[in-house]
Amino acid sequence: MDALIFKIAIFVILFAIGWGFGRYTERKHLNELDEQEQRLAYITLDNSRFKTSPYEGQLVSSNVVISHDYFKYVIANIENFFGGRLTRYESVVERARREAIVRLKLEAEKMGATHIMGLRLSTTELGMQGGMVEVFAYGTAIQS
Amino acid sequence: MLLSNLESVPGHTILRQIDVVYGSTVRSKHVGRDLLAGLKNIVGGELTAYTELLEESRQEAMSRMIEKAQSMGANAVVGIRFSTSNIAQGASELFVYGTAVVVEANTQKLPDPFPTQG
Repeated sequence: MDALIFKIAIFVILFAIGWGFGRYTERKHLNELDEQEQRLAYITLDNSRFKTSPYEGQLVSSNVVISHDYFKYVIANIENFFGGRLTRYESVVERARREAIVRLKLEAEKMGATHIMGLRLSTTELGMQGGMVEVFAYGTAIQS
Repeated sequence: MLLSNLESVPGHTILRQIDVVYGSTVRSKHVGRDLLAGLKNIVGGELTAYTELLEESRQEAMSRMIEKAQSMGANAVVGIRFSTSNIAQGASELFVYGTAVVVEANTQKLPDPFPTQG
């Protein structure tokens, strides 16, 4: 009986920690992303691979690994049971993609580039129990 | 070595195509990192250790590809693609491939004496 109470207590604590910290980190991250995206809006993107440019170009790449929190994990498991959209996970993947693109633009900024051609994004799931997602972005930065 | 994920290197002309080159590496994370990641799974957020690990591994795969291209006498690799797969528990393979080519920088062209109308 004691063991059961202990297990439930741990679950509740983790759930609460996940909810609190998860929300905090997500908000902070989204604010940072908004700020960075606005600052880097002058670097334009396209994903056409046939386009060429008379300017010099070089490959740039960036990646990011983002994990879910315990709250999301529990809610997603419940949502998984009923099927349909897993809205909690959608936000994790979206944040990872936006972060990868921001980092790619930062990389381009270092070279003094103003345009990225042939953007490619790839998403991989890491970890055995899932919930860790890697987004890798690459493209060719053009100095124009 | 010029690298590009387009069909050509911007500002250059392809003179000769050599061959497809590739590089790969299989990496796994060590227990300490895995443990920390497990903790991070509770609070959420970015896993910096993994981000760095994957970046390092991709660099290694890329340098292997570049070595191959250089030994073939190429000076650029075009059409680069990356792919990642989980081949075993906790290990992932990072694979990169592209076409090794010989390119030449575009010299300043003389103005066209008969410009096409319109």
